Amino acid sequence: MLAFMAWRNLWRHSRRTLITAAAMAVSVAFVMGMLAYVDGMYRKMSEVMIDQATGHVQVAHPDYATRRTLYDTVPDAATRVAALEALPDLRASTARLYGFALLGGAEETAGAQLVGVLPDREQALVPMAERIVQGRWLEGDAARQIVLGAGLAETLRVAVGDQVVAVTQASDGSLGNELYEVVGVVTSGSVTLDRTGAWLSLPDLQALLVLPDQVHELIVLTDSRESRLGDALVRDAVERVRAAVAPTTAGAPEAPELLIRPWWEVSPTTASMMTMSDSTAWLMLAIVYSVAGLGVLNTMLMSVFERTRELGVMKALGTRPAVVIRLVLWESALLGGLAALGGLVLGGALDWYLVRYGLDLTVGDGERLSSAGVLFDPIIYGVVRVDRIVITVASVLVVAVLAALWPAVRAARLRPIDAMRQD
Amino acid sequence: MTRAPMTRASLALLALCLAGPAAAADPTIDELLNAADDVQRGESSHATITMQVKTERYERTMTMESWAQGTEKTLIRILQPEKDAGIATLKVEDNIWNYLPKVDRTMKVPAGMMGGSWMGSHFTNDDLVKESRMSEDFDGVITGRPTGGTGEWVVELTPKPDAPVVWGKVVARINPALVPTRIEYFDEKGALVRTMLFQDIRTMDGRQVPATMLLQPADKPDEFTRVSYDAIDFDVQIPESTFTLQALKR
Repeated sequence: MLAFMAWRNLWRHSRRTLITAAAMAVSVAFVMGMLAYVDGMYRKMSEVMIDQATGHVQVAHPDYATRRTLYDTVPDAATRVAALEALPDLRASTARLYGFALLGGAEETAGAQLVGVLPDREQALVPMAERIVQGRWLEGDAARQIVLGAGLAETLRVAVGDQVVAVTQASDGSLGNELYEVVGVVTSGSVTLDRTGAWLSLPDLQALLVLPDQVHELIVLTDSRESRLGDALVRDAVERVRAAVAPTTAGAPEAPELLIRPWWEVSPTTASMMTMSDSTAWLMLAIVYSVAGLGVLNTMLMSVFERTRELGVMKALGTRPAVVIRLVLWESALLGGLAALGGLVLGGALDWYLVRYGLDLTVGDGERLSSAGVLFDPIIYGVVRVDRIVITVASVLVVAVLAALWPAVRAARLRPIDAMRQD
Repeated sequence: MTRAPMTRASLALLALCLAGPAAAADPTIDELLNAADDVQRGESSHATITMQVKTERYERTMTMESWAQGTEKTLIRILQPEKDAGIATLKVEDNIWNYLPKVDRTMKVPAGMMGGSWMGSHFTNDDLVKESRMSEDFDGVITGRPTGGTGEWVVELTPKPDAPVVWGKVVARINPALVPTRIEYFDEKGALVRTMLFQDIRTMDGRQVPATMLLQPADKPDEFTRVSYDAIDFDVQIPESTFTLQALKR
């Protein structure tokens, strides 16, 4: 009954009601779109920086995090890779070995960052095959094959089918050197890697560097997509990985205690970037909704002032103050509901656009967006999450009710005698 | 004499003393440096060398054969161990090429990697090149001399302005018989970076030479590179074609 009365009251000034509701609806749509964008950014960051670079859980030599020398390796790699593979509920796992070498084509030479990978496993984490611009990704045992970053291939003036020689100081002090056939040229997704990166099979790099059965990183991806800071699934995986890889094979001379870390410890930059974009989103939500709330406050105050006489009569007829408060709050809540509906329609359209077409962040002359040396696809596609939408819509109702509290209390406190004297 | 490349580094220092103003002011020093210069300008040499490298991570011993012509041209070929046998380094003036028999390729060491280790030792590629440039890059002052038949000549070398060198100061000690005994290399802050010791001075092919050189990095007391001459012949005939990229492959 009260709700019905409130609804009727709203439409006594239909234009004012619609304008206020529209303003709030735009706020709702804006917040929905913004959250979809932030979540899209989040997904992109997790794909590029976690799924492809650090993994959810990383196993390394304890000194690898700080020193990153050639010698800070994880021994007995093959056994450990197999142990990780046997773990249930993991999306992917792989091993990587890094090294620096001088690469030489027929005419040019250049320094290169070599990455020794298990080709198929690497492909499961990083879509290397999709990034190949010439030739193909490493296949099979990939013996004596190499894939070069596009910039590096250009510097060396080599193409698919050419041979390159790699020369490096191996771990035993000898001059490691080997000839490889270029099978592919890749745009890796990282500015630095494109200019200097070269990928070859793990056994080939282990042989070149004389690091038999050693790797720098063991990487595990859990089922958690868009993993958050402190992700329980990742925490759990850290413990499972620890149990799986920690036992060293018998006879290994004083194998080092391995460093097993979740991604937010491996890459604190990624973690803080995510936290920051998250808090930025919530701050924006707070600002936008504050403005919307002031609009509601204004509307409801005006509405109460206009009806001073009427409210005075109601009270004189015995309406209790609590009922007056509920009436005004109902009005505001219905206004908020109207705004939420409109906002859902508008925001839904915006979200659909963001998901379908994305937001192109290409700056100026098509330069690509990069962060911490990692190249992002310049188009950020929105990600719609139901929990975000529920929060957005619920907040607009809460804001509408909160903003109407003061006008409602004012209305309830009117003294019938004074109120009725007003024109 | 030209000895194998590392020894020549020390001798180049003496040569530069000759060029230095202090040297010119002291006739005795002049003689000393003239003698050193004669040694330095030895026409050519052919040597068999053993190089022992000990680092925190590895220890390796290599034997190699070297040919040198003046200060500008050097060819070093590794004989042992098996894995590296046949790898050869050719130095002509400021350039260094490595020949890699396993892949049958010759690669020029790029400018950016001149500071890198030569064959895993504590010598850098730059050391091979700069040996003949010391007199160009440094000014020398004599700061100590032997008295009463004991003691050594001490020559302090500071880089000339704009000289492309990594050292802030180099201090060389030379015995009264004009054979270097110790060279200390300091960085720009004056801290000792590495020390080269010349030991086992003996007569080889009619000349007094330190048969062993020991290079020790100051920050890693347990590490060293030791170069020993198993045999050396001076003023031998070396065909000019030895110091070519074609010959490097043989």
